[in-house]
Amino acid sequence: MTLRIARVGTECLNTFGDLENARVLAMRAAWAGIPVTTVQVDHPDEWDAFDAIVLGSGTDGLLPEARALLEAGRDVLESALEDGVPVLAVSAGFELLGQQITTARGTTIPGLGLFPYSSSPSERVTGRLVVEVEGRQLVGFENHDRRVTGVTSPLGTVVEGIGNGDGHDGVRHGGLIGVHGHGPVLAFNPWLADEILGTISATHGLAYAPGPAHARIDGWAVQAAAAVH
Amino acid sequence: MYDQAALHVGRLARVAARIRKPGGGSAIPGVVVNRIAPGVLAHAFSSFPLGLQVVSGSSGKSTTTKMLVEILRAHDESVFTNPSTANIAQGLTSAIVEQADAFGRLPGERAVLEMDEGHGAKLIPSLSPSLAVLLNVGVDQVDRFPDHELVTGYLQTIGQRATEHVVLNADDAELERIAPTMRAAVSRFGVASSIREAGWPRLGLVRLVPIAERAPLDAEVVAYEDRSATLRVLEDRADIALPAAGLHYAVDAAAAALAAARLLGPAFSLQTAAGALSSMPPVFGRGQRVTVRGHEVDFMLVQNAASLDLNAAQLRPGTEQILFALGSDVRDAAYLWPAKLRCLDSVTIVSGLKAYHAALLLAYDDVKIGRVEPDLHRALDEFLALPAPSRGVKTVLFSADSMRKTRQYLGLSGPES
Repeated sequence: MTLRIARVGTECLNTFGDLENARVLAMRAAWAGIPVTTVQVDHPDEWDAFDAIVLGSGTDGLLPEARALLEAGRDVLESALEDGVPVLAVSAGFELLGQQITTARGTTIPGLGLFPYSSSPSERVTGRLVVEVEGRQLVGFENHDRRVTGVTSPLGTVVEGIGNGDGHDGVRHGGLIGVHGHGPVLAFNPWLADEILGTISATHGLAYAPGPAHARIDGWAVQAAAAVH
Repeated sequence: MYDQAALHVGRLARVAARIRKPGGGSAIPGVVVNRIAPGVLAHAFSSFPLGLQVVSGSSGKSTTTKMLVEILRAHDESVFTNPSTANIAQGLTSAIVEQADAFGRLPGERAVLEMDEGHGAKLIPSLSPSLAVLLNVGVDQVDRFPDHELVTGYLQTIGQRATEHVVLNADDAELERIAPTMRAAVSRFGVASSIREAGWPRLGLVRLVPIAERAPLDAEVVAYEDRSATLRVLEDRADIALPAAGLHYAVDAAAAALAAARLLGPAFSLQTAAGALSSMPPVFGRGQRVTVRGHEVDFMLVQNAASLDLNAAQLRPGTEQILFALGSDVRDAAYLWPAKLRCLDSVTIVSGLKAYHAALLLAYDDVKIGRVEPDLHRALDEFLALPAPSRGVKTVLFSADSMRKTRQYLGLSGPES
């Protein structure tokens, strides 16, 4: 039983390397002896049922293409969200699930409308983003020129940086984890990767347990996260 | 006379700065000069008999500029150019200060300048180049250029200032998009369809023009292998040796040769150009083999996911000793993650200011890691002290910042990257 993790949008949603979060999940699973494969979703007919989905982020010019790709996967995304399938969505990735995105150039792109929030232009912010999530810290590098308003269930409170712009970052709803942090974020925050892996392993009656290989790399993750600026 | 006085002041300032900090006189006097006479730069570059030409793009600017300069010099022209690090206004002004004679005149019949996309776009309104080379819009330094459309905009600004020729990459969809907005005649270079189809699909570009939709090429890379290539420029063909392994070097050569052909007209000889290109010294850090402390070492520079991909793929399988160092060049190294590093198999030491991030990058692509040593000097000492590998050559992969520090530490001289 090989677990399947989708990486959506190689051409339009990987500008900042966020689809590599799927690779982080796959490697950690492999080190724990759990068979995982990553599946590229770049065309409408590549949408399928998955154990986890990673939506990345891309530049403004690529948003229409990204939106079209996500629209083609609307049913998959809606089912996933209903069933509690983990969906990690970074920056534009989670913005596209909302009502609409208005870019710095004034272009408005409709979202999938799965959530009530919208994003609109603001001053560009780049730098260290630290979000407190249920007592743990999520560290990433944010790089965006929009603010998100109308998020009813954010992921956490911002300790350092801007995030959504109202003192919170991201969105959390069922399996959806929306974040602004790049990194890839799971590389800097293995605890979140392990949470996701724990969930999807359990769904298939498997026990996910990190071991010595994880411990070594997690030491590096702490140092790398501390150096984000 | 006002500008001349400004240059004199600048020179004095540079001398003063050098007394305070040996070798540290580059950028400081530029600031001084520009505060006194903001038009110094514009004036200096408007007085070359054969005009000003500029080279810009996400990557390859430095190599292409050097190639174009060498081709022109091989045609007996004297060319003023900026060293690779001086691609902002202050650095350029300092270069002027260093080379101007007592009367404030610059040597050379023409000036060929490398221009950083962002800083260049700011500077170019005060300059009037006769020709601009636009190399590519790639994914590079995403914390400085988070939106590739910004880069396209910068290159459009630079290209639109050219009065006679714009030489651009026909494989690059972003550059083709802005080609109709150029004032000057557009010439195109690219990679032969056969090469693109044979497994070089991405070419490090954000968006590619599909082969079937590509405009006719004035110059192209007809054949490529390792460190040699065959170029077609207009009606002629020639084989060339490249300063380092990599298809992108062949593309840079095609761009430089085409630009030279437009500048020299009937006086251009592809054979002469080929000779110049083939005898260019390898640039440090571009696959150059150097003997250090009694060992042969290959040094390879990494600047973005595309070059990291290419460099990793080019290493002989089973290269035993690799040092991988990532420095302070970029704040967010996440954009390196799409590179495929699995072929490296194992890295002996990971170092640099971003050593831990580099370790994550490698480990999550299943590359075994010997040890992480953030102190670059210590890492280099350890790496070089290891006995010679039984197979292959010690190899160092590094980002620009780690490269500069390595060169300094090991006392390596040679052409700047």
